[in-house]
Amino acid sequence: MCTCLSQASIIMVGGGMMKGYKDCVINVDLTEGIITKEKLNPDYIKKYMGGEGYGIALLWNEMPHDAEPLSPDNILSFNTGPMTGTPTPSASRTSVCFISPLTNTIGASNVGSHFGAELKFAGYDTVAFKGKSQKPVYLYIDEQKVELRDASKFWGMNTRETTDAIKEELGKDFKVCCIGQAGEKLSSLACIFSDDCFAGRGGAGAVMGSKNLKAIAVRGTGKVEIADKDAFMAVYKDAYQQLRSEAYTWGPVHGYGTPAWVGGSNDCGILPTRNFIQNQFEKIENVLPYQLWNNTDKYSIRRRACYSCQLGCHKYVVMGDTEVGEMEYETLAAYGPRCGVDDYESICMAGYYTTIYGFDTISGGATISAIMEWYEKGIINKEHTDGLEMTFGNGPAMVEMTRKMGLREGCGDLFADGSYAAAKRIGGKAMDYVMAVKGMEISATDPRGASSMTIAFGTSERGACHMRPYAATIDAFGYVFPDLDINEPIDPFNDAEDKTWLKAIKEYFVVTNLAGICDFNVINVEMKASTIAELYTAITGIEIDKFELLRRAERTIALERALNYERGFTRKDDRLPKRFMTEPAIGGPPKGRVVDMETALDKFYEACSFDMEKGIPTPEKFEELGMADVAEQIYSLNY
Amino acid sequence: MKPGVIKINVNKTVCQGCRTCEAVCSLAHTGAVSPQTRGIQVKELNELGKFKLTVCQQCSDMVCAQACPVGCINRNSYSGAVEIQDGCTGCGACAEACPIGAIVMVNLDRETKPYKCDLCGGLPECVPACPRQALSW
Repeated sequence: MCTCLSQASIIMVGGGMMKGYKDCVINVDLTEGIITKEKLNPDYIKKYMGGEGYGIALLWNEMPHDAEPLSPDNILSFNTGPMTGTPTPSASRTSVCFISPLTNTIGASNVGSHFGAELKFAGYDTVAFKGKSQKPVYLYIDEQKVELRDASKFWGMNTRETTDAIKEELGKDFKVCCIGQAGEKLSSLACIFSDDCFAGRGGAGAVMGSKNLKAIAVRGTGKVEIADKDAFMAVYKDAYQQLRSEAYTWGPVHGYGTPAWVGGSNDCGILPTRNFIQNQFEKIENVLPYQLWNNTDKYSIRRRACYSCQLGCHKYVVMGDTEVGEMEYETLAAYGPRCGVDDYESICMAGYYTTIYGFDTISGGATISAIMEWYEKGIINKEHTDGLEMTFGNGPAMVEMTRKMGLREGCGDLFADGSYAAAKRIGGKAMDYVMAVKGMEISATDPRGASSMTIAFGTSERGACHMRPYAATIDAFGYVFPDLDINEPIDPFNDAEDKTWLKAIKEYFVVTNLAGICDFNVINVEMKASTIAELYTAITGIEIDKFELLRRAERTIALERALNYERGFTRKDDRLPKRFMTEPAIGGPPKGRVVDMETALDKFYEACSFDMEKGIPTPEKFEELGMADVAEQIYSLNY
Repeated sequence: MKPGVIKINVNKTVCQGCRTCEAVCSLAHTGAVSPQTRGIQVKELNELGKFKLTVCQQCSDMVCAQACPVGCINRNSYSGAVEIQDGCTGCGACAEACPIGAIVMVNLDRETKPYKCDLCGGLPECVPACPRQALSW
């Protein structure tokens, strides 16, 4: 029985009192239907801080390392960070950790909305699920009362219907995370939905579906304590100021949301167009966000922000009677230029289906762009597409295919697990046109125009992800960041350049996942790492500097790579698809450029002290990180 | 009810519902962050992206003070805010009396206490914290 239910919970780590955390984890064994509560593991907190770090430590320490993604052995955890629920800018995040059915690597995906803060207010840092329920259930958390409840009546409902039905049953003040039909049908692209925010990438929704877990509903009215209120009040104001003084963040992104990036990406020649055949879109004018915003006869744009968010990037589109959902850069880029589509109506409707059926818009749009290239190259034909004319630019066909994928209807079944899985089933040359790393589709940045993104996509532990880190900010867009010793602009076209800066930026991005804050505090290097360290110190009472902060991210990354290595992933899996090495960029600043993958990897591995072949930290590096036990376990393996 | 002039003014049309104001208010007054212990309330309405904000109007006729059986609600002579001062028994009469529901009764740490806006003693913390400039005073 848990002893960690008092509101004034305190963890002792290294002799210090630590606030910010609630010091309570809910463990749910879905097979047995047993719920237990326990204190946070202080060792995980000390090494990995919380959030994603905590979830990955659970996978490493409590799950068989060869667990199949959709088996009961997989551990699916929802992890808030020490900053979640505080007035730190965008302190709304919950990191969902699991083994990914899309990539077979670690899965780590995080979601905003007000769910994470509510979980903290209810008194919990983490909820971890093991096993598989016999029938559909949802987890009910009302303060200290935690129960598994029957969800049979919600099974088959889409994400919004499920949320509404649960709120109808329990009350409007509950915050809900749930899956839609895509998750129920185990699509490897399925995401977890929380009030139109998503833990989008890597198929977390399918893991939830495989466990017969339809939703989590939480209500909390407790408190998150702050160790040093006065210090915190001073630092958060400084943090707000840092965000508000970054012109691009506080200008176009605050105004238009992330679609503001689409014009800049196109100018820099990093906007994937027609499945990366092009790196600039000739009809860019038609998809610039003002076209949507200003077309007030047809669209209405609403703002609804995540908890404690300054930026408020979420902009919701209402088109006639249809609440489309959020319009953001990745959705716009994936269903727009990447598919050669320039009409907002089709882009909105495709986004709508991904929202209600609950699957990743990036992989969804990317898979459709691959389908279009296969179709145009004659690798597939109308028999594979239920008669749909899947040519680049055909918006209505794109929308219909998205709908079919979400429901696994007809040909949607072939494509519902993403382009990599579909290419394996189609065979022939299909795989040549899959723009994915480790099976996860590359998001909307062309690495030929930003050398740093070659590494970001290639070496991301969860598959081709643009947030580990979004370093195009530095090299393609030309930001400097003295706080992490980036004092001069970095050449975006030189794969042979020293990558020490990139290691620091990657850790800086991962820190946000550990702390429970949003990447958008750091995407334009707005908030200094030293400020994040000051916030952490004020909240928890634990003295930390920016170097130790980054060190915790470095340990998390090391543990993720170790687990991936045990699952068979090495340097060979850190490479981009060959298109980027063989087909030069055809427009914009990177015109004529291809990626020098091996040089870039060498430089990055060198900066990170990785073994050049294994792609994991060297034993000495593990030792330095205080992870000799991990090194011992994985260096005894022979590949 | 006669609303006062020196108070938090709200422009609900630009509110994005992030609840930063609530969080900052709770922290400033209690040293911790709780969704309950706040003097400003953000509620999402049924229409997407529309929010209701409720905050004390610092009324000149102080309906809440009139209802208080122990007379502990008074105007702060420095800030002009209507304040709940020492002596409160947690009876909830003020919350019931407030016509706009700007006083919330909170049961936390086995104690029931009312929370309302006191203008932070003169310089409200929520106003500069709001990223949308939805608040002014």
